[in-house]
Amino acid sequence: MQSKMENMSPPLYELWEILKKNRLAIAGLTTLLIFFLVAILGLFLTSGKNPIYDPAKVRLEAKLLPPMTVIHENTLNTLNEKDIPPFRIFLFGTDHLGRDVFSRMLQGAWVSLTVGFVAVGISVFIGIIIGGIAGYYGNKSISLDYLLLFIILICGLIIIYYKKWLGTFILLFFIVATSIKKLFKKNFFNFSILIDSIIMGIIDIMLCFPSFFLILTVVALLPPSIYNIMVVIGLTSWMGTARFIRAEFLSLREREFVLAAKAMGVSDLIIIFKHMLPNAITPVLVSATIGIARAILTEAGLSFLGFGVPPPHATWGNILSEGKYYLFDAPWLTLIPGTAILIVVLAFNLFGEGLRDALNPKSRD
Amino acid sequence: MENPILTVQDLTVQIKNQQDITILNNINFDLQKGETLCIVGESGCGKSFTALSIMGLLPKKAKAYGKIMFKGKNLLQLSNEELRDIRGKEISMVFQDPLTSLNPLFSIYEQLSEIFIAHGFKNKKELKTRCLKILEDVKIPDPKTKLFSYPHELSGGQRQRILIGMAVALEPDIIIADEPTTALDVTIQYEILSLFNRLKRKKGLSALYITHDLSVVSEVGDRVIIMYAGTILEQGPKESILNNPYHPYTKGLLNSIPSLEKRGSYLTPIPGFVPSAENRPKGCPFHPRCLKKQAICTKKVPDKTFVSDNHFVYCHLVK
Amino acid sequence: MKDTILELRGIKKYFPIQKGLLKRTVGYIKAVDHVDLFVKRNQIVGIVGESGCGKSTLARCILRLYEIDDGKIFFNGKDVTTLTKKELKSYRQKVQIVFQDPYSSLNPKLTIKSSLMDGVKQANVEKPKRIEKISELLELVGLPKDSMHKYPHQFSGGQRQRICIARALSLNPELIVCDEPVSALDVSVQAQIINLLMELKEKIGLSLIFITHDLNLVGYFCDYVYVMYMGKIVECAPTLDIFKNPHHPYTRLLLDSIPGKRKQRPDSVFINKQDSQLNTQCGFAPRCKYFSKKCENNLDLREIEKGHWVRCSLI
Repeated sequence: MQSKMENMSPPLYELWEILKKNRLAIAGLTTLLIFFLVAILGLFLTSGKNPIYDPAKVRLEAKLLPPMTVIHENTLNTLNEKDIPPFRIFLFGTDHLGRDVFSRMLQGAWVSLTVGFVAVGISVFIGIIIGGIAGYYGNKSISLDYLLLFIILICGLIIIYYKKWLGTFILLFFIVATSIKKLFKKNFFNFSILIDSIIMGIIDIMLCFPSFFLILTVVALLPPSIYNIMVVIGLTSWMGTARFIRAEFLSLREREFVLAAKAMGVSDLIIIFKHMLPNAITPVLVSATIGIARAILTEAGLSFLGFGVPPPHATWGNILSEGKYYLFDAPWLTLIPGTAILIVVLAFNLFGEGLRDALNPKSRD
Repeated sequence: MENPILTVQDLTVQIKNQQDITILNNINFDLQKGETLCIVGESGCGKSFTALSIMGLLPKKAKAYGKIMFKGKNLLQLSNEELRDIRGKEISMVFQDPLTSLNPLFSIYEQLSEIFIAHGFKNKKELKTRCLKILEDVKIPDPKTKLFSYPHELSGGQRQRILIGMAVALEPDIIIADEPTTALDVTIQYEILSLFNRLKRKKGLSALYITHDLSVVSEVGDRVIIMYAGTILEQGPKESILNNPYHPYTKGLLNSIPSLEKRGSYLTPIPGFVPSAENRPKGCPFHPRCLKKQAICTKKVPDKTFVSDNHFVYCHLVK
Repeated sequence: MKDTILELRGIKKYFPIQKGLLKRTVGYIKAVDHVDLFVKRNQIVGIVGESGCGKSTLARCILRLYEIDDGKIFFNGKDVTTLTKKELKSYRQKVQIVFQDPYSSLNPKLTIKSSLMDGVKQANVEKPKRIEKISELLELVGLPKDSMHKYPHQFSGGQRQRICIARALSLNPELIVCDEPVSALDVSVQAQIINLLMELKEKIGLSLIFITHDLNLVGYFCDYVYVMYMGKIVECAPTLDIFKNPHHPYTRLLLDSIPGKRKQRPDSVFINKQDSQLNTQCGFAPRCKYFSKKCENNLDLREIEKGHWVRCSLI
């Protein structure tokens, strides 16, 4: 035990020691592990040509059955043998089309899980890159020429995706402008801006938008698909991470071990990825955990409003949405997905908060 | 001996965790009226904990045993209210870092007057003259404008002066200074030390001066206690300790101080490093680093041995 | 001169004070102001000064961790202020730094081995020999070989400082800049590190720049001393000279302030004068007892004895 403890990376070991004492966090973690298991199982059980639990099977003669309905010989004997779910039981009942809510919940779990992780993955990735640039290179300034060229390049690349001729034109303009600049070897605009100011400006502007409505607008314009939703949620929630990373990098940049590495002539990339990022990542981890919960909620909200994952694919949000018409006749249609969302989001939040407490140096003594 | 103003008897401080960690182990000393007692030791030897247990400011997890007698009362058994009355009025403390010891949001006047108000002083007009008097006492230049300035507008030395002024404001019996000059520059250190000595003499205070620097001791102390790993190793008058130390640790400390005279030859440092509070050795706490270690040192804690009237050592080598 | 390893000429580092929304520069903090400095081979040069006098900034300028605003740095006679990135790399192999705080100068997430590996890689040691080199380095600074698999938090302050020295040595430097390497350590451990540095100086023939505020240490350890005050060198001389015969009022104040060995009462430091009322360039004037009308002029460093320079108009 002793040797094992010594070989473990120090923060990880301490982290576990402290986290272990926080019962709520452990409860959250356990719930999350069960959720992951269910979601992964759900993916296998509900996909394929003949899934064991078929979330899309319509059984009109068995609609709006309450949970725990067992199929006997004398009830529902009109049901096709193929349509009967495993163990001959509708664990969570059926909806207005007679689809098995349990199967749909299983399918939805996987959606929630992937939306949460992919969206947060995208946002953390963007946040680390942008925050890292702001924090590490922030005190360098960029001349307006390069900035404009960069903007033209980005615009061209985006536009070429939608309108080929316009995009090509803009990119051509970019190439011409770059070569003119190379030729003259001087700046046309005698003005330069700190990289940090630019990035912080962009972050502040992004934060000004009410993000849910921004997402709504974007999703309304894009073709509805689960991947679009993940990307859009990711693209609109990276600002927090970027700020965390920037702040951490700003203080780490002046820390002696980073200076020492610089003084040894270690390259910037190694300094960033070996020395700075591992020391800056902890607050990001916490915010990412809570960010997953937020992404799951956002996806559920979008699906509820009908902008989310298109039917017939089930998500917890659209089960809830469809269930709202039968609130009094079939309350389980809203209660079950609602409770599931509540529990998962709560678990993520509890675990995230436990993680934050454990990482807080003040709680270590 | 005369009757001392403060007596510490068998003070033991433990931190309650999964396993108890002993920070202080059977500390005994007394403070005479009007004298300055220096407690010298390296980081982690428990010197700050000694001060905190006298002030009743130990962290929650720590538990103190033994007796700290002050004016016939055992400080360890007083309630929080009783302790609050004693703090500032009868025993006051100056901390190491003058930057964090003052609240940056309040002016010097507000912070100075706070102590008077806390101890039941209400007359507003006189409050101001009293505060001015403190600044004059500690020789702050231009006290009338400085009184209404904020901590960040003062230099580190001036801040420490004000803190010392605050500590002696209510004319306490004892002032405890916990490394008051460690965070300051050498030139400022001298000023603070002489201010400390002057105020102490003027007001007839007794002082407990905690430091890690033996060279400072020659400036302030009357008597010196050498602490190591939560125990006292040697205690005696300043001259006797500095010129004629008996314990190998004290000798090692003195030899470790570089100086112009020692140029050209290697220093003779104490090997090894200070053990952490969790794994202190058995027997004499210093034996793993001691160059003159004997078999008995690893087994038995040495007894108190007097080498002269008031100079004693805990070491098996001194007989 | 042939045996001069490092030469600084008029080094300047000003930090702009920025205010307002547009970050307009309203003034400068002159952290390092026209500093000239020489280090001879196998010599220990001390830089003394109070906190905030710019000595750490100077150290970072020497390492080119900060871009200097003006001046030239010559290393072995070669100008290193105009180096390309590649040349800078080889300069940095020759000059290394040890920082004050042993707790923040090691990456807490890396083992000692991988902390040292950076330097060993930079020194172009072949792959199979790297581990061997690391254990050699650890032995050189007096640590057991197997400590390379441990993390920084498993070491005490003095041991960490040894590791930092090992890291600096991993590039086989000719000059090490020590920025208060022992002031965060306990007295007994301090002496160990000082001895180690002395030993290294003799064994490897290192040159050292030793930045400190502890005059005892300077007196014991350094061959030549620069006294810095508010970004400027106010006096420089061989150690024995400066201790026996200090000229600048600030140097005298410093020497008189050494606790324990005071010859005389230090000159009082409070003088109730506002900086703006003093018509002088001398930064020390507000604290100077000898301030007079003469102080208005001639504030260059002047050589008053061989190798002993002072910046004071009164001398």
